[in-house]
Amino acid sequence: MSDSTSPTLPGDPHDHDWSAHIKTYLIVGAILFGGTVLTVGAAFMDVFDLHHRWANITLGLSIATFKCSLVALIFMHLKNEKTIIFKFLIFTSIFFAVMMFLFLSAQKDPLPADQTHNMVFKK
Amino acid sequence: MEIPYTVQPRPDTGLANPKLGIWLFLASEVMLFGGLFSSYIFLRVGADFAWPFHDLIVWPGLTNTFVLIFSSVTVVMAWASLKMRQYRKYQMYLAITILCAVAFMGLKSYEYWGKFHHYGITLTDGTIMEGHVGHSKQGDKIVFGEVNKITISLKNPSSDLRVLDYRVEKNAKFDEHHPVEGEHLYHDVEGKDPIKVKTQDGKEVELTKAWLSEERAKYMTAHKAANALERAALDAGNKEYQRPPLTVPESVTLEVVGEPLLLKVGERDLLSYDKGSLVFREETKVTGKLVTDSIEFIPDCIDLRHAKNMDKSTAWKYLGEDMKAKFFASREKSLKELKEHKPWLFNNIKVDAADRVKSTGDEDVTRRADRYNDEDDKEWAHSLDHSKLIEIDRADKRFFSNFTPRYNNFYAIYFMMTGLHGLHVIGGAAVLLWFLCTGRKMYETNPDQLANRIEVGGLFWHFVDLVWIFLFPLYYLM
Repeated sequence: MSDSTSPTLPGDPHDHDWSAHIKTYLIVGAILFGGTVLTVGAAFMDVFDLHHRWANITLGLSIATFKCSLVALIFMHLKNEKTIIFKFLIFTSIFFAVMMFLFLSAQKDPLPADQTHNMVFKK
Repeated sequence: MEIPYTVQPRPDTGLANPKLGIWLFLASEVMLFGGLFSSYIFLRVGADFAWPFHDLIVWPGLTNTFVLIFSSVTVVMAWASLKMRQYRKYQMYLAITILCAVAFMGLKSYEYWGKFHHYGITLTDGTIMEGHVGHSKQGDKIVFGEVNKITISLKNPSSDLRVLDYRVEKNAKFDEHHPVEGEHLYHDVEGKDPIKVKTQDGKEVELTKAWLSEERAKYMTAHKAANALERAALDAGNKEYQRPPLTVPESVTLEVVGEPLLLKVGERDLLSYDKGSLVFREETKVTGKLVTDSIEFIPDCIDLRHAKNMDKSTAWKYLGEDMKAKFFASREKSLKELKEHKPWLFNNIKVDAADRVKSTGDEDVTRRADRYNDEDDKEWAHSLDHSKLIEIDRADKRFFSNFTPRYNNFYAIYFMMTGLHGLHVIGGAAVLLWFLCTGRKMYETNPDQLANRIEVGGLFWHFVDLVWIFLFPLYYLM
């Protein structure tokens, strides 16, 4: 994260080192391709001999999160972006986490079968 | 009027307005897709059926991932080219990005097409058979013949002459034992001309929309007149007013003149049916004789995870003892391999079907041992090749559908999310195409403004890529 005085924002008219930026974009693209291959591989192997599906899921989602971070930081220029955007994103993350929590906590509070039946059929 | 801060940053935010706007929009998009992702997790964790695992074919999803990543690179290169004032390169990169969007949607359509033509039948004992509908005879339709009487509701305005669209003819040349490829036993009547019918008062008329409208108008006039009389009586304080019966009937019963009709109807178009009558959703009723209501099916997979008793599954009634023996031999083989190579999974096998279904930890076992398809076992697939066309009694069917949202929660959330994502791809590509087609003038007058536009469009495009980066492993791999 950089503040509004950052001199290295890609696209800045004073920043003429485009070849370096383009090289970065190509490298990130290649890493994303490689990450995709890894994600597919992780889905079909026994991860770290843990013998459990959750290991595959955790690894797969970790790679996806890493890929996502690369796209956001490099392609979407978040790495050099103004602080205000981060403030928005932090708020979004908090709302997102609360929403996830609400959804998943509902899992622990199911309606009893007889109650559901009453709601549907004996209204 | 010039819109301020489209290129120069605002002093208070430090950002040009379009960029601030797109980031706010993307934040709302995160919540939209976040809600759907959490719905997916909720449905999957709480599923009371065996969640489809590795059911989607990986290669189209994987190819689409590569396509989207590639397009993310090209869109950022298009923006960089503009910044470097290389308009031709910018055009090229943006055109490639749009082509990637077309390729993505093409592949997605191919996937959807496969789902729409793949069916699953849940039998009454819980066995699920997946495969394709045969089309040499009735397919998945109900054939109803000797139709000599049609009753059309005049009261219900949606009751129309749709019944005539279901008319078919029986192809006499068809050899039931040697079906000719591409030839159907029941094929549509050409032309669908109106038929002649006899009304209750013995009049012979041509059954047309105009005739039906006339009859309906008579009924509506009588109905409105009765309403007016009733209202007048109530207004006059006559609380004991009895509404007299209408002088015209609520429906017309027509006798088919000449050759009785033969109909081929989808079950979902009917309210009910029995051996002697069909009642359509719009309340039209026909009487005749049920010819067949069995479903022509070509299975490519059998799933016994929900079956009450694998040995006595209804599937064997149709597939035969030979297939049953092959299934159990293949199952034994799989279990043996599992015991040797993955003992920790083998030890997780639950005996009770309900436990097996609810457990998420042993999906590998249940899939490998109790569910076979052409990818699991080539020998089994060979036995279940397309020559094995069976006819399943509708009485043995609990649920029948193609792989659409109604099939199960997995396909419901799959279509919801990939469909919404697809709409984003189309929207993003349309915006980029607009910039590609109309950008020349702006490039000549204010290249930085065009670069900002491409950056904003590109940010949306990258977001579309981000969603897919999570969507692909969740649906195709996990």
